[in-house]
Amino acid sequence: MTENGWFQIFLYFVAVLLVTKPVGVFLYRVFEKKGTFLDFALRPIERLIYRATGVDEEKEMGWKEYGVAMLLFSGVSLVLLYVMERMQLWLPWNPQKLANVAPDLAWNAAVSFTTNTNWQSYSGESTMSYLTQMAGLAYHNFASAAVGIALAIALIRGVSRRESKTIGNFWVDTTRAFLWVLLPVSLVVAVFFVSQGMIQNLRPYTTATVVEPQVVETKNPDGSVKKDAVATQVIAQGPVASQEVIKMYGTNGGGFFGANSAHPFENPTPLTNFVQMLLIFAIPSGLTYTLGRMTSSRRHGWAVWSAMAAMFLAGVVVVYAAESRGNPLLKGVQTAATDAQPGGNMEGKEVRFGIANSALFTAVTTDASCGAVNNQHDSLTPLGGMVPLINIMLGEVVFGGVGAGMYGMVVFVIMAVFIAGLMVGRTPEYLGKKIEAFDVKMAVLAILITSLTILIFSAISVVAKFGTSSISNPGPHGLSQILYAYTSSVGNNGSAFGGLSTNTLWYNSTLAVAMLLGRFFMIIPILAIAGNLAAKKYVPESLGTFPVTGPLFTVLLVCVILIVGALTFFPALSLGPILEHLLMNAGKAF
Amino acid sequence: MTGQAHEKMKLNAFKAENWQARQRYLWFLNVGLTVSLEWRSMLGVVREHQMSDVIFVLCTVVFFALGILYVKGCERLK
Repeated sequence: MTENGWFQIFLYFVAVLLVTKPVGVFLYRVFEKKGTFLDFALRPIERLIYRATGVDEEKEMGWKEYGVAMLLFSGVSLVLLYVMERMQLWLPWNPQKLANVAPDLAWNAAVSFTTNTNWQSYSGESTMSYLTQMAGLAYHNFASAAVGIALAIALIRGVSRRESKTIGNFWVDTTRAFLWVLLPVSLVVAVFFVSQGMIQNLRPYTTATVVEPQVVETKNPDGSVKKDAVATQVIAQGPVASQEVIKMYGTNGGGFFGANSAHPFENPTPLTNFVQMLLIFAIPSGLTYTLGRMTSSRRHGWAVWSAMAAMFLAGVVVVYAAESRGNPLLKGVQTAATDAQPGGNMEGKEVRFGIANSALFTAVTTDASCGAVNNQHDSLTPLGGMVPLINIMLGEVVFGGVGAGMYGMVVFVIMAVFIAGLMVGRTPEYLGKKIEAFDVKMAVLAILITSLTILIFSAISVVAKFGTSSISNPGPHGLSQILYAYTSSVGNNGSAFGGLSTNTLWYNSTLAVAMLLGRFFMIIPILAIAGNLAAKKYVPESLGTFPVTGPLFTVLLVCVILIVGALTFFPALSLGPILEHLLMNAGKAF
Repeated sequence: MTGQAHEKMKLNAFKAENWQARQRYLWFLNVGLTVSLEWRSMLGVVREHQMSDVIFVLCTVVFFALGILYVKGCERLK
């Protein structure tokens, strides 16, 4: 660990803190229709969209109508993307003549992008045409992020409204998230990214002659060695910059290239690396302020932010420490950082970013439901690799995905006030609303559906041949690979641990089902909570009310999140990364 | 040229022509078989993929229909 590394982490933390209030205020003004500086340009477009689609922007929806609208919108979008992937060979903007995507992979990718997961069992540059990338995948990057923001706002309305039957209008919320929140930043930052050297074109790939031709040896099935002279290299390119902003800002994470943000065309400089990380946390962090502003309890918003920040910092410190320590089995290797070399564990990391920025990126991308990577998570040390796994297992509530982090956190807030109520023997209250049996049932359902999906699919995959045949490392590391894949899918994160060949019928299908369950079967109970809270009467605070604004609440909230996560996943973690760490210290690597 | 030599030449010409015709026939047969086999295998792939397409689209529809039932199920838990 170096002072420079700590300083960069500190700088990032301060930047996140600084953008929280402006973004939060902006989101509040957009969704409460209080007027913003963009209204003059965007309001006419918004009206035009409603006129063309027949949406009545004044009509409000109850939670069920809101939920069904969200399901229909997502379902239709999913099928359209599937069709586009299956027909890309016959559609324009496919200069490489890339074949139609195979059915199981196309379904996996369509589900993945619709659910804001962006899990990729393929490399974008060799599988998806420019049209599929731009009109299919990038559209879903916007749409899934807009839906997430809309749902978080609907839940916050549910908390803030009194005796109301409605929680907003799904079409209006989604449209405003598209037009006001996502599009302007995507346009401006894309230009900045191009200025930094990020690629943005529609040209066919360039075939370049390499300076030093190489001879590559490959083994034939009969054991004989085949030698191939490699004198050329295909340089993939395309409309990267325009995809990159929404990939991070919408916490999507699906890379244009297979190497994702480790690719120099997708993340050319340390500055773009910093901005990409900041984009991931901008909306989730801002939403905590929006929560405080809309519920007229800004201190509650900051209390939630503090809980998120504490868990974020803890995660970064552990990854940074574990990676700086390196692998103790590498005897005779200088692992201390010097001016000449970064030290620690540099396997799978970009030399341009080093250990500090790789550790920070790893924590950020898995705290949020982003899933973009600038280093290979499979190459992290066992403890370093356990942190992203835990981050996702906890429900990605540490700032979390756009909207998803906020509504996931409110579920834990309800659990926390429920437990506090049980401890003092009073009916739990949350910001003037009594928390009753239905709210707790829905919160538990939201937590259970995700945990069960991860554990059941992982359990089947570690015992069945069709699951184990994709593992590249034996022992606890193999278990971690499978566990990570399902955790990432259910958590709608999308980052891959690596090392697991998931482009098989079993993994493509079951990971897609896991993504669908993790997204939609979690959202519905949360919308039910929103609808139920909105209909409740306001109960004034009394001396017996558990305050949700101070450090005590923050500590309780963190404890509830950690205890729920620990109880659910500790056995699996102890057989995976924890065992691997202990065995590594005993001299055995996998 | 004697009549015998003329006959022999005619026979050789006939053989050559016959050989060419045979080659042409074999070529057409080969192309025909190849095309037909390719088409058959292509059709097989298309048919197989069409089936997969139907299954995956059906899965999507069933999932979202279940989602709507899930909405009603949550409401009933109240």
